[in-house]
Amino acid sequence: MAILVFRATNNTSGTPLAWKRGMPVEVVPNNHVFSPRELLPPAQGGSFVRVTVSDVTVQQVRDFLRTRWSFELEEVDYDQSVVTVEPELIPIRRRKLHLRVDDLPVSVRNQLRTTGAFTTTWPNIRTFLQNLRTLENF
Amino acid sequence: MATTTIKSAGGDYTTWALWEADTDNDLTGAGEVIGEIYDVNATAGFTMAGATNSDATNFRHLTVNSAHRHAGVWDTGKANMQVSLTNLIFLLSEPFARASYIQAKNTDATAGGGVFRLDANSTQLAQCIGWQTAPDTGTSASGAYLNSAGTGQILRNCVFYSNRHGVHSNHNSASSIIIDNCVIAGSTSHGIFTNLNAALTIRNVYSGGNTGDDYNEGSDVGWSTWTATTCMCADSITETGLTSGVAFDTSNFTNVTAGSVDIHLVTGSALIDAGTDLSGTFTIDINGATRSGTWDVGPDEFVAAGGADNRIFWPANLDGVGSGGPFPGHRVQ
Repeated sequence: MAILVFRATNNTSGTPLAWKRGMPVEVVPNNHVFSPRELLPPAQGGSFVRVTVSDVTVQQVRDFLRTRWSFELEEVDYDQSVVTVEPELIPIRRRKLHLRVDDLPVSVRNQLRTTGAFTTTWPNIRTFLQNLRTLENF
Repeated sequence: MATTTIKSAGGDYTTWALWEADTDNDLTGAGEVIGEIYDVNATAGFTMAGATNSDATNFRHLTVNSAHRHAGVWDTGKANMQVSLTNLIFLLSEPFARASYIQAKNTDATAGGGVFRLDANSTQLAQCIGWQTAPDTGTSASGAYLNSAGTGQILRNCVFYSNRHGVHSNHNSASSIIIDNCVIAGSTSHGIFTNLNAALTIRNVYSGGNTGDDYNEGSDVGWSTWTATTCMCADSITETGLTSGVAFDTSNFTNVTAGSVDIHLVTGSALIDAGTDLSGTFTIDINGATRSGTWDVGPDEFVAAGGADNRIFWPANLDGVGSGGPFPGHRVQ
């Protein structure tokens, strides 16, 4: 099993790399022991929600993303500038994908908000993962 | 000053990224917001960005607890970051953000995209080690890539080796970059490389053993807009503030073999007592030891064999780690 940890709230600082709700922070194995602060549900002021995916490993999640979209879950998104002597990659987004939180069933959103956790399968969650550059769903 | 811990168990956070993603707040009045890493390694890219109102007083700082930090040489037994990416793996993209005692390696087998990237104004790396398995030949695959979006970036007591450029300052104009007491070696291209007209201050820096030039200011070997003080290199370059012809070999350093580089100085090293006292700015070396006497060039302040043993000992299990001994970071030759 793998646990996908998503940012639960928007950072409104306006900087390009500010966290947005639904961006994945980490993927960790099911035996990962979170701290109380990390487990705090959004309804109680917590910053994260955890989606346990019961039928895949961390490596499989990584492999699926790499095969489909050729990037890592935690990768920053860059754009390219050519204004300097050497081409300069400019970071434009904290992550290259996000979880379409607003499109999740209301019951799932409520559970995530109140408990901070939800368990599902890869076929059920993957369609809610969206490539932020192409807007393609996994 | 608020410190939260990053530990596998019993701390405030369990990964570097979760600390960062939970502390990206309005820093007004927050002081120095420290994330202290214990026994946790990073296996994915890390970015510090998004907090607001950071300044010289209020900023985020990712560091490593003294019992878990490297002692100036790459050590997989201590907190480290090993990530395979075709982009840079550790980004400071928030003004005044700092990182210290971070050892990071881009493990990509064919086209590593670099290690540290400092995007924002006045970001700082201190006592860090950055290297790669196989750096890419293009763009920013450097040990430290200083992006033109920021100025005033600072590199202090750091080691960068086996990168494309050790340090690449991608600035075209006044940039106020400061590099103090670093060693840059074994680059597949240049040691320190800037674009033309980048303003760079380098003090007590050694660059050598690089395939390209040890110092290169936009195709100009040497410099015109850099300011150097007691720096050294292996190349034959005539510039103010530079001693050339100092070999990157074991007459000066402990180990210069790729993959096993140890930049601690050896007896008789030309870098010993050849530096400038910068104690008005900082006082320690890469081991965290207080510099004394005439400063050495590079991150390590040499202590002669048989010299005063000023290590600090802590009793067994005071910090719950190990069985006691010399305080980590204090090294006696």
